[in-house]
Amino acid sequence: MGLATNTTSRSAWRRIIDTPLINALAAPHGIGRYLEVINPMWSLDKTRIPARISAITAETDDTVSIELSPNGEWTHFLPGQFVQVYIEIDGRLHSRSYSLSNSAYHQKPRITVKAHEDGFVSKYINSELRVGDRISISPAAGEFVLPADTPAALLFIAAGSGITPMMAMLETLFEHGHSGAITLLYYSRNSAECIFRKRLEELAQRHENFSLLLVYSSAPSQQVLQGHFNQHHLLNALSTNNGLADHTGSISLPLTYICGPAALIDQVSAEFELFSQGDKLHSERFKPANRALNTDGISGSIAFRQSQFAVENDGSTLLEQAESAGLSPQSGCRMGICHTCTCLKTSGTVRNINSGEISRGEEHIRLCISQAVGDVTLSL
Amino acid sequence: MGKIALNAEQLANFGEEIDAIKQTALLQRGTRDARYIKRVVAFQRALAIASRMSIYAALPFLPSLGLSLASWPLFWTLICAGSIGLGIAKILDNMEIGHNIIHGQYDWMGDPRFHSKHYDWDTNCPSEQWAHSHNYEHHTYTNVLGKDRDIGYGILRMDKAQHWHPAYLANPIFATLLMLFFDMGVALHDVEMDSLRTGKRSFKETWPKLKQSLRKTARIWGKDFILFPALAGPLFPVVMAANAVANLIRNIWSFTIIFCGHFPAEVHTFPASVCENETKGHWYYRQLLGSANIEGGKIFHIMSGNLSHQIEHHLFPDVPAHRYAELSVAVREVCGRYGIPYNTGPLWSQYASVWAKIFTLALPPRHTGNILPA
Repeated sequence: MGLATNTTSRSAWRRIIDTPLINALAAPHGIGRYLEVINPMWSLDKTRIPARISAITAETDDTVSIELSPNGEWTHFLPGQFVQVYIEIDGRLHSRSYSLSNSAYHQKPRITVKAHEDGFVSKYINSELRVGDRISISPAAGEFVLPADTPAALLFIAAGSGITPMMAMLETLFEHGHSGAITLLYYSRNSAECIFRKRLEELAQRHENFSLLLVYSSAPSQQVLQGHFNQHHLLNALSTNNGLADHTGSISLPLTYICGPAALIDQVSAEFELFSQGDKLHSERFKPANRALNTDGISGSIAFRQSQFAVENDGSTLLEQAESAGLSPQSGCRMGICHTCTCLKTSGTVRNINSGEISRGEEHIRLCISQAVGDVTLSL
Repeated sequence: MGKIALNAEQLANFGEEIDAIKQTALLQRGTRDARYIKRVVAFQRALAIASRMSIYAALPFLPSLGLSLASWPLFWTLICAGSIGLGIAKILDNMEIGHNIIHGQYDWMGDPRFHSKHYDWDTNCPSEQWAHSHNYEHHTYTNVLGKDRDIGYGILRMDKAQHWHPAYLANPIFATLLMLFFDMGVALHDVEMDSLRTGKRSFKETWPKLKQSLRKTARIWGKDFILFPALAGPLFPVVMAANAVANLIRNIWSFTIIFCGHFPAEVHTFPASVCENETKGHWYYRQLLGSANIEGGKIFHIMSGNLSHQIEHHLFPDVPAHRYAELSVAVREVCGRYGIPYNTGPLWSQYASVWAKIFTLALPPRHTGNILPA
C-alpha cells in the first residue's frame, strides 16, 4: 500500500484573505506583500515559504541537521524529495537544493547539510545559522521518490551526504510500519564521518526487516565490508534482501535507490546493466562540482532550456551567442546598464566582463555582459 | 552645445575615473543596501495602509451625516492626512522603490521582491514598458534628439532643435496637462501614440502595448476610484476624491522632479551622430552634460527617488540610488579636475528654469530658425 504522508492544507485565514477581491485592493503588489511587512511569517508567497529554524543538531563534525518550522503555505513532502533553500548572506539571497531528511509524517521538515570545502552556503549553514533564524524554502519537488505501492524488497545505496533522501525514506517507511525487507548499503570515509550512524544502528536494532551495511572506505574497521563499491558488496547486500537467485537460477534485483557521487552511480548502474535490470535502479546525482575557473581556455556548452538545444561556448558574451544561435532574447543597451536582457541562469558559472564578478548556480544575469565559464544553462 | 572640450585621451582617462567610482560602489553592495530598500518598502506599505485607514476614519465625522460625532475640523484633518499620506506612499512606491528596482539596482540581491523583472509599481504604466522606454532608450541615448523620446515626451517642445509648429503655442497648456495626468503620460509613453498619429506606426503595431497599458490603468484606477470608494458605501465620492488628490500629489511631484532632471536651461542635448562609435568616456561625458541635480536634504532626496542626484543616476543607473549622495562627492571632484560643468541648483531655480523653457520654446524661433547643436 502507499505511504499516507502528513498533508496539511492551507490554514483558514490564508484562504479567506488571499482572494481576488482583497488582492485587487492591494494591487499591484497583492495583500501578502503588505502582511509580510507586519510579520514575515504571514507571507502568502507559495514559492518562497518563510521558515524559522526550530532546532539544529550536529550530526558529525561537518554536518548539521536543521529542523524548519515553515508557515501555513507549507503542505507536505514525499520522502526523497528536496527543497530549494534560500538564505540571505550579506544582503544576497543564495539558493541551494537540499534533500529533506526526516519522516514525511513530521510537521516540521528537516534538511541535513554537510559543509563542503568550497561550499560557501553549506559552510554558512554549518557555522552561522542559529535557532530562531529565518530562511525560505520552496515547496518540495523531485521525482526521486518511492512508488505509490511500496514493494516487498527495497535496496538503498548511499555515499556521504547522499544518505539524506534515504533517511527520509527509511524514517517514513518505518513510521508507516512497512514490513518488507530493506537493506541500506552506506559508504562513508570512516565512522566519525558516517552521518546518522547512531540513528541507523538504532533503527537496525529495532526493526528486524532492516539490514544495515555500513562501509568505511578509508579506515580499517570491524565492518564486514571494506573499501569502495564492488560486485561483492552488491551481492552481500542482496543476500540480506531475499534478492539472490530464485529457483530458476536467475537473479532478481530489488527496487533500488542510489544517491551519491557520479562515479558510484556509474559503477552501480553498470552492475545492474550486467543483470539487464537497469530499470530497477533510481538514482539522484549530486550536482557536478563547479569547474575550476579558466580565464584563457574556452570550454563547455551553452544550453537554452526553453528552446531545448545547446551550442558550443565560443567565448563571446551570452547575448551574442544566443543571437548567433538564432534566438532573440530581449536586449537593449548591450553594455550592462539597462537590464533589458536580464535572464535566469539555471546552472553554471559566468563572469561579468565589466567587473569580473562571478555568478554561480541559479541566478539572474545580464546576458550582454556575461561570459560563460564552462557549461551554462539559460532559461531561454 | 555638446561640443567635446576634452581630447580623446582626456576623455578616456575621465571615463576610467568615473568607472572606478562605479566599481567601488558595486563592490560595496551588501547588507546595508538590502536593509535600506527593505526598510523603505516596509515604511511605504505601512504608510499606505495607515493613510487609507485615515481616509475611512474621517467619514463618521462628516457633519452632513448628522451623527453625534459631527466635526468639520476632525473630518478635514483625517481626510487631508490620509490623502497626503497616500500621495507620499505612492511617490515612494513609484520613485525610490519602483523606479530604482526596475532599473535593476537591487537585482544582485537575488530576491524576486526586489528584482527588476518581477517588480510592479502602483502606477498606470506596466513596469515592463517602462524598462524599455526608460532604462534602455532614455538612459542609453540620454538627451539625443530623435532617439531619446523623453525630450518633450512626443508632446512638448523642450529643445530649440525641435522644429517649431503652431501647435507648440500650447506648450504651457500641454505641459500642465502632462503634469496633472503624469501617470497617464508615463503609461502611454512607450505606446508611442505620436508614432501612430504621424503614421510611423500602424494601429495594429501599437495595439499590443496600448492594450497592456489600458489593462494596467484599469487595475490601478479600478482600485483607487471604484473598489476602495465602494467600501464607503454612500460616501463613495468622498473616498474617490481623497484618492484622486493622492494621485494628483504624486503626479505633480514626479513631473516636477523628472523635468528638473533634464530640462533646466544649462542642460545639453545632442545630435544623433554622437552615438556612432561613441566611447565609454564620451558616454559618461554626455550623461553628465545631459543631466542636472537638485539640492536638498535627506528626506527630499528619498522623496525624489534620489533622482535629485540625476547626474549620478545617469552615470550609475544600476547602483543602489541611496548611495548617490556619497558618490556625488567623488564625481564632482573628478568633474572639477577635467573642467566639466556639474549642473546643480535648488529645486525652485531648476523648476523656474524648466517652466521658462516651456514658455519660450512655445514661440517660434526668433533669429536663425532651428539651430542644430554643433
